[in-house]
Amino acid sequence: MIGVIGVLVRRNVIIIFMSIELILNAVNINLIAMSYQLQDMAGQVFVVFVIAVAAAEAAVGLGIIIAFYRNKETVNIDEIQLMRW
Amino acid sequence: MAEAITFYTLAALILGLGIMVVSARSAVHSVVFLIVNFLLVAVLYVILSAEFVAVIQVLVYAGGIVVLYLFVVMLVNLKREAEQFADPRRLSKLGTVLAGAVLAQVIGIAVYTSMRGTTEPVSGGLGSNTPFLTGNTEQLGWVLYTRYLIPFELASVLLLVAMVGAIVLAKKNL
Repeated sequence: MIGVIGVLVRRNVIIIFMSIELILNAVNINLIAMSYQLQDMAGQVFVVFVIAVAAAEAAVGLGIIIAFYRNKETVNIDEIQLMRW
Repeated sequence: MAEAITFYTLAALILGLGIMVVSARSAVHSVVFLIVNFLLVAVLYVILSAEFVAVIQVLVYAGGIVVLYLFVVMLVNLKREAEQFADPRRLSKLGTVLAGAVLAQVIGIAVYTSMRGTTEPVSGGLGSNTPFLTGNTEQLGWVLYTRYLIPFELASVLLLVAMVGAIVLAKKNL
């Protein structure tokens, strides 16, 4: 919930990415809790996958931010309008 | 009783730190709050008897991802405040209405589902041919390499693609 608010409210791209990490963490906590409740290992396996995907997403997203900052000198989400028509 | 107190204290701390991450003025402070948040989540995993995932959380999140964020925050040294540029064309009213509609829909679905009664308990878990395994890590490894072998390999391919993509993106002349 906090992560969603962060994605919506802030205009700094880096903080938006951190909010996405918070969202993924909330999902992980839910999965672990359900796995504990149901005594099922599938939830923990899925958490491992979610962590792997989050790491990949962070790497690629931050690469995009670096490339964009090198070109445009900004991290403000409102000024990133390359794909607006 | 003590476990409940620990859990609620941890939950309150995690939520408070999440708010701090989102609301901190400077991005560096945000990253520091994020580290503490991830460590507390790892403690929560230990309480929920998922020790292996807790270790992975500390290693990957608090060790890897946050360091990556810190690097980017230092590289993208903000010359001016990013929040000051306000786009007058932001459709805030329409967005609010749409978000409210989606929220109402989700709440309606949740209420409807809970009215209909509980769903079937998820069967599965360890198969019948599983040897007697003690310890969280052994169980997780067994399930990961037998029932979830193909998703595991797909995840490794995804990591490879992400690595190549990040290197290409961060190259000099794109």
